[in-house]
Amino acid sequence: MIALPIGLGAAIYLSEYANPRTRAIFKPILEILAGVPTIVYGFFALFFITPFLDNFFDIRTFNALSAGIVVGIMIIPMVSSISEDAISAVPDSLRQAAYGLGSTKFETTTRVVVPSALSGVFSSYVLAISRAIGETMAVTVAAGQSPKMPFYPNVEQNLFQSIETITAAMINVASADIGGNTPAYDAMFALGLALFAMTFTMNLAAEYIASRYREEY
Amino acid sequence: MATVDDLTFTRGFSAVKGSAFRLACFGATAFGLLALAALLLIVTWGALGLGAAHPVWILVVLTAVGVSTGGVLAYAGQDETFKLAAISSTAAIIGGAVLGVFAVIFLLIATPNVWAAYAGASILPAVVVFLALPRSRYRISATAAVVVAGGIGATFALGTLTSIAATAKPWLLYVATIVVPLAVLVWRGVERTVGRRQATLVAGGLLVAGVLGATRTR
Repeated sequence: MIALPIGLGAAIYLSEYANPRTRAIFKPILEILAGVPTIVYGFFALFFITPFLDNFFDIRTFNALSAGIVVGIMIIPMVSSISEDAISAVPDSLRQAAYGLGSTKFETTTRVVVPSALSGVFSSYVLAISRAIGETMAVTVAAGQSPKMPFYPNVEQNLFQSIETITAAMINVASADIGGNTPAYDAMFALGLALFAMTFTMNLAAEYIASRYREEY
Repeated sequence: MATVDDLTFTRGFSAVKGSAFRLACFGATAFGLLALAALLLIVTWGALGLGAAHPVWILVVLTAVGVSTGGVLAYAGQDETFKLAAISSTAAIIGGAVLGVFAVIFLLIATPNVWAAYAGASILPAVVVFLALPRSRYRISATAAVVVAGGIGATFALGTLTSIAATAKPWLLYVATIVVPLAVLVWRGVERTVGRRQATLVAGGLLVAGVLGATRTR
């Protein structure tokens, strides 16, 4: 909800609307976001986003909402940078053809340029989501370590409460004094399998989307 | 990339829609930039403990930084020939300050004895080799070899070297391993251009400042 529209919007602005000088300044600055260590994002969520959200919601110190927002901010540069590369790679002849047919800049951008770069845009989405799924540190700092089912009792309630990432749960089990063949020990492998299944499904989806929407010029 | 907006005849709702879209895209970019700015500001604020600082102190620092930066930019804007000098001198000051902070943190972690062990076995011999081979084609490789060999040797003999270093005061270790080699390097570096007298004054000033600074270490 945060990274995908904002990242795509930034990519469209940088490739279609910004002049070369603005693009040369803004794009590297946005990419700096990708170089910030993830634990810094966690503290940013804990000390800035959570107090801000506390003005509007009855929210816990460690909560899923600020963790989700900060991870969304964290993957913006991934979406914007890869999408911008994909949009910039669309041949200028397509734009000129659209203008030649009487299209406005808005129509050219939304109906010609972005659809032509759709496979690259989707690839950026999938890569960014995969990184968000595997993120541990920022989420742990912002959301704490309280494992719970996200849909029980309801999603809204859990958004304002502490949660735990799958990777953090695995670390907790691995570092605990637990013997083999116990349910907790087996749960570690089940969690790993679930994580693998999610990322594998994402990769398959990315592969399908990339091949389905690939345009060759 | 696309530059035909002016050629495209748009008016009414279509123009509003296009402007709104452009604004939304710019807003998305601005959000990313603002998020980065807020992130860096919050982290810097927290890391330096600026929350505990007096507001007047913060105001003075911000004014000093703002005025000096504005002055440099205004100066640089006067002429293209000024630009490089203004930017490089400002970058040198900021870079020096950042390196200084890193050096202080490093020395806090390394402790004086461990630093003196590695400096005495590796860095000081390397400086001697570097200065002793001014025109040799092997100058860089010989210096690097001494750094590596000295580092490995210091690692193996760390216990002995740190116990030797422990006999001296920490400030003396810093003077012997940082201030004196730096003063010698500066003297050698500026002596050809400004003359022996001026170089001695610069190196001597550095030495005095370094000794005064080192004696303030705990």
